[in-house]
Amino acid sequence: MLLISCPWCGPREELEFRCGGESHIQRPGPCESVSDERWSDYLFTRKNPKGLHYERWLHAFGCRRWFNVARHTATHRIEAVYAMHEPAPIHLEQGNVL
Amino acid sequence: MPDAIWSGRADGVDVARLPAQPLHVLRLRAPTPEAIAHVAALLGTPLPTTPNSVRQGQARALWLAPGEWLVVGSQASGADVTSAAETRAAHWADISDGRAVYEISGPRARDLLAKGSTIDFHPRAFARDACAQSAFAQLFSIVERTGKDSFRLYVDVSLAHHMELWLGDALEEFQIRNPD
Amino acid sequence: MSHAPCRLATGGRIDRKKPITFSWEGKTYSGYEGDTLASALIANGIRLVGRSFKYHRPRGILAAGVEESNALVQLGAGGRDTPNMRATEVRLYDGLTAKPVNCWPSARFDVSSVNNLVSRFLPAGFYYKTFMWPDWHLYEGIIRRAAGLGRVSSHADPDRYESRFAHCDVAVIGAGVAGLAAAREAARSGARVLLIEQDQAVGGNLLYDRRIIDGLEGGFWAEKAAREIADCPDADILLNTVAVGYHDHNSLTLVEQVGNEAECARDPRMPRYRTWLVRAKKVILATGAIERPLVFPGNDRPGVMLAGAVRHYAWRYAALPGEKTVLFTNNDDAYRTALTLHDLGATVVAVVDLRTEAPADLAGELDSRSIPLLPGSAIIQTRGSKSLKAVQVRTGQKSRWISCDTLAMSGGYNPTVHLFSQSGGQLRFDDRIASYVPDRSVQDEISVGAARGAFSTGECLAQGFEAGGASSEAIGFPRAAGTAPQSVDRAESPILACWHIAGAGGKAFVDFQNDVSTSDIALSAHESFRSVEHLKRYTTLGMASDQGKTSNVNALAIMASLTGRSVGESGHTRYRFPYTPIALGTLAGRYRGEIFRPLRRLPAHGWHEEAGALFEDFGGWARPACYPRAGEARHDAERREALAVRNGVGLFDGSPLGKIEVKGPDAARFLDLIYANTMSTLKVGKVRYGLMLNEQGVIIDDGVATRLADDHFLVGTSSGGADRIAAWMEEWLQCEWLDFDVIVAPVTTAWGVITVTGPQARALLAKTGTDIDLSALTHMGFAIGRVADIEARVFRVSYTGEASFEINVAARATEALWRILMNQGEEFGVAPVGIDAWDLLRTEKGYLHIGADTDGTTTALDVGWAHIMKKKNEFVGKRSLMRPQDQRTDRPNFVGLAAEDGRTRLPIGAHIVAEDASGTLRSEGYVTSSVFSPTLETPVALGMLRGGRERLGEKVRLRSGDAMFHAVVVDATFYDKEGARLNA
Repeated sequence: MLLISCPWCGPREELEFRCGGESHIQRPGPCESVSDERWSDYLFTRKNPKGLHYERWLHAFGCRRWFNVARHTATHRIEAVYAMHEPAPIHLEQGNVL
Repeated sequence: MPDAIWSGRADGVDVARLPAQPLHVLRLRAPTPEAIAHVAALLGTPLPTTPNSVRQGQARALWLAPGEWLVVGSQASGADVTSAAETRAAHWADISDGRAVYEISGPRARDLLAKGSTIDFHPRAFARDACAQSAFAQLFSIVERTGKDSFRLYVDVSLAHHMELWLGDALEEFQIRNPD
Repeated sequence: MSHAPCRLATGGRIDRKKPITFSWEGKTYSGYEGDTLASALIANGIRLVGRSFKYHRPRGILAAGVEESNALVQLGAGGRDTPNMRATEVRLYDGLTAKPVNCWPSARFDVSSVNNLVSRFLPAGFYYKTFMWPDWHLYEGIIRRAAGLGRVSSHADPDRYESRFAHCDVAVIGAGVAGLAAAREAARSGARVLLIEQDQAVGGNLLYDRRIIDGLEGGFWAEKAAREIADCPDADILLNTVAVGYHDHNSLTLVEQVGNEAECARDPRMPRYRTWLVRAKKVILATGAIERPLVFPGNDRPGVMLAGAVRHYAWRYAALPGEKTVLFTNNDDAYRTALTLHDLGATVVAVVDLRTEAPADLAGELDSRSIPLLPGSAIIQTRGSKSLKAVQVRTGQKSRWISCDTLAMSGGYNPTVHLFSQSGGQLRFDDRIASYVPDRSVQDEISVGAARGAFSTGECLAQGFEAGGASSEAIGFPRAAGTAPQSVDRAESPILACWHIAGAGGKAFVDFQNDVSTSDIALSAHESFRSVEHLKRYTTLGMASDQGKTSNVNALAIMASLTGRSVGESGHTRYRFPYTPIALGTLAGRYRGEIFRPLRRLPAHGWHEEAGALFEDFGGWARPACYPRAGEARHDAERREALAVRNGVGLFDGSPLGKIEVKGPDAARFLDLIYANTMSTLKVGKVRYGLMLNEQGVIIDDGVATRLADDHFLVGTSSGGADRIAAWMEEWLQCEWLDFDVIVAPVTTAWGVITVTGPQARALLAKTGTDIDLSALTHMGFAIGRVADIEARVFRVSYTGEASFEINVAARATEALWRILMNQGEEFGVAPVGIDAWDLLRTEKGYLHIGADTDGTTTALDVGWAHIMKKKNEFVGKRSLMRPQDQRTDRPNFVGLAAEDGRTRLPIGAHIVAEDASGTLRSEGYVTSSVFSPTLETPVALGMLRGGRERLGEKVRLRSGDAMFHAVVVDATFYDKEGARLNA
């Protein structure tokens, strides 16, 4: 079970959280200007790396805030926790290998 | 707890469901420090901005989330609170009827809580006037420390019956007397 | 009761003042407090304790700890019997009853032992190869009956299983020499320490090895260290507790054995086991080492034991496994067993050492006791049917038989790296000890002592002391002054790695529990199952309940030698949770019976109960399905309640309906995005029905929104959607529209909801007394006022098709208002209405029930909401509805279905079928809701049908199982199509 540091509540057990999948996905719009391909990409295409993954988590059994987590999918190491509006920490990109 | 709605006891731990009292959730969308100060003044209660902490004034205010507090024991009206806030979005929800509140006390209170909660209740980690929203017995709950050996637990009122079954069952182990 | 013939007159860590009576295979024996079942069996001279899994060969006790592979027992009787318990881990108690597993009628006379006679026809993979044609399932039943170990009780488990969470700074696993040194040093710093020990006593090998630490006898030092740890306010020692799991981010699963069977039977409040879920900042693995057997023909005969275990039984329990013992070893440790046995008065026949040069000091010790030493020798065969009689020793080219009743063997020690491996750590083969040791850590842990391959007491003390101090210091607890405890150790001579001793025929076993022998490994290698993972699965090696604790390293080494690789190259399998088998109840904990899962209660639950409601679980709420009167069947009650609503007035408890307040300057803009239809045009004091979609355009909830003020809405959701929709709104606000000035405040359970519905609803409300102008409160209107002098919000919305008033009051006032309305309503024939009738009424009216009439593919367009596409603004899901596939006219549409004969109720789930070009029946849709309408006196049904909106009036065939039905596609609204009653 992961130990996740909520930006507000500090380290809490994984069972208090819900993973919302990949983060930093841009919602395209307005409707009329979005191609079917672009829309299907938004709905369905997701990264599945072995390595660092930027994903959004909800502290569901807690402060009910969403935030971003940079997690290594093989070791489960959590490299960073940052706010929803913040960009993915660039300096971690080089570490995107096992 | 003579006027408790429900109670249970065992060696070293007592549990009582407290009578209903005014409970409100105060929500201020992205509040300025001034807005917080104005509402705190109206409530006669400081509003904690440190996460997971409690401040006592005329009422008791528990930090729940950024811009969100549980206020226990305040008679303030929604109109007064929202106008004091002076922010564009403010909300004062009366949930007095929406929660069941339990007091858990005694030297083994922590052992009872540990059966249902992943929160670390050691005094170094969870001092007096600390609070946390978390899962308790797999239910959404708020817990706060009111004294050295006393805690309060808030759960949804519709789950009170289940909570009491759970607590009663959890207490049983502590009721075993040593045959010697 | 018989006298225990193999118990020494004095000594041992047993309490001779507390004798214990127990039963084995129906016979009564005696033991003492402090015994395990295994030690008591040995003291009573019982050597044959079971039969092997596959060949039903006679087997005796092998080990003295959790690694035991042979002595599996069925413990207890009645509902409390537990299969496959290791006798070495069962603490003896008065009245214990046990019997061996996998043999019938007894361990001595086992019918299935015929398997042993044909064992050369049952090699690895036998079942896979033999029972493939025509189908494995043909044979499976018979084979499964013959296989298996203990029997699972068919009764409900009467035991109590507790669980709890715990936190600590430093968790130390194992209270042997290294663990005690580590825990004491960490506790002294003030850190919160949890010391976990699987045995009933601390000390590890100090319980049976004579050592001097800091000038104290080893056992005494261990007790003193434990007391010092326990005296620290924030340190705890858990005995009888196995650390079974090491998971992510330093979380551990422990299983503590609390009460025994007798204690639990006496007091149902006594837990049998307690599961601990521990989060530790630092973990110190002081898990010790497990001795490995030597692999030679006939090494599984009862009487062949691990040398350390023999010493353990003799010294700790004063129980001698045999009278005449031969030692067989490749390392120094077994000599300690020889010396201990001799000093306790037992006969040591010989020490057989595979090494050509025995250590001089130990040779001298043997010589002074006149124990023969045979260096450069091996045991190549054994004799004895149900118990060992003799061993054949080969020295050089010569061999001879030596008579004995016990063979104590030692092939060296394997560090117990299971938890380290579970944590993700990498292992490395260490030639110095001829075994695997921890190499690279992944988590914040450190292995110390024997678990790291350091077998001397001094090294264990030094490593434990250092790890305890360093771990606590690293998390902010400065270490107190002091030095590591001291011990004087002799220098051990090197081990001679020896994986397989070829002998004079007969099977040489590697995995005793799963009956895997060297020839099975050879077959696996021959058939190219050479990777360790293939070897494991092909031969079932290490897959028994002991998970190969004594067999893995031997097997890996044999496979390596067969394939010309080094042991390190051939690799190892990853160990997995749990370290030892655990009772299923430990996973369930107390979450069974009535607290299996939470069931919410309505605020007026007490009244419903008094009224004799039949409660059912509807979406996690205990709700009245109906209120049957005496002698009334469920469907009669449903019919009566439905007619009461149509003809008079009914009361329905709708309290679980979701209530979410949405407030702020951007509230209307936000709801326009959240709902598929427009909410910003709603007038204050009015109510509007709406659908919510996900981004795929699929309907996820419906309900009514009420505008309380310009910037303030009350969003009503379905009962099941209350929490989900509030969380979903928050997700949009926090992740997508961060600049929206909106607050979402769920208030569902603060309010009780009583729906007054029927032609007499208004009259009842008027009679009850209200300050609300009822004539002004029209359909889809809203008012705040008082009802029976109780503050209320009243909504004119309807789920029944009748004029309805949804009265929301403070939850605590709900039951009082309900009673008032029931009393006042008597003259109108008021009836309480349960979910059954409620669903019937809405089906007659053709109202959509999300989740019943719709599924995870049903879009807003499928239910006839094409008009929303002309809305100017965006909304969640809109873009998906513009896709060509979503625009197709042959998608399933929501329709009504009328039975052609006007009598037959169409079964829910029945498929609407049509023949395709080839004459095959294809499904075109199905029935989602179906009732017999007591009002219309005809069956009515709703369903989804391909292109259904264009097919009104068409006759269709339906099929359910083998039965065929005939129906006509009609509009979904069967009752009051004009809505006259709704607006009345």
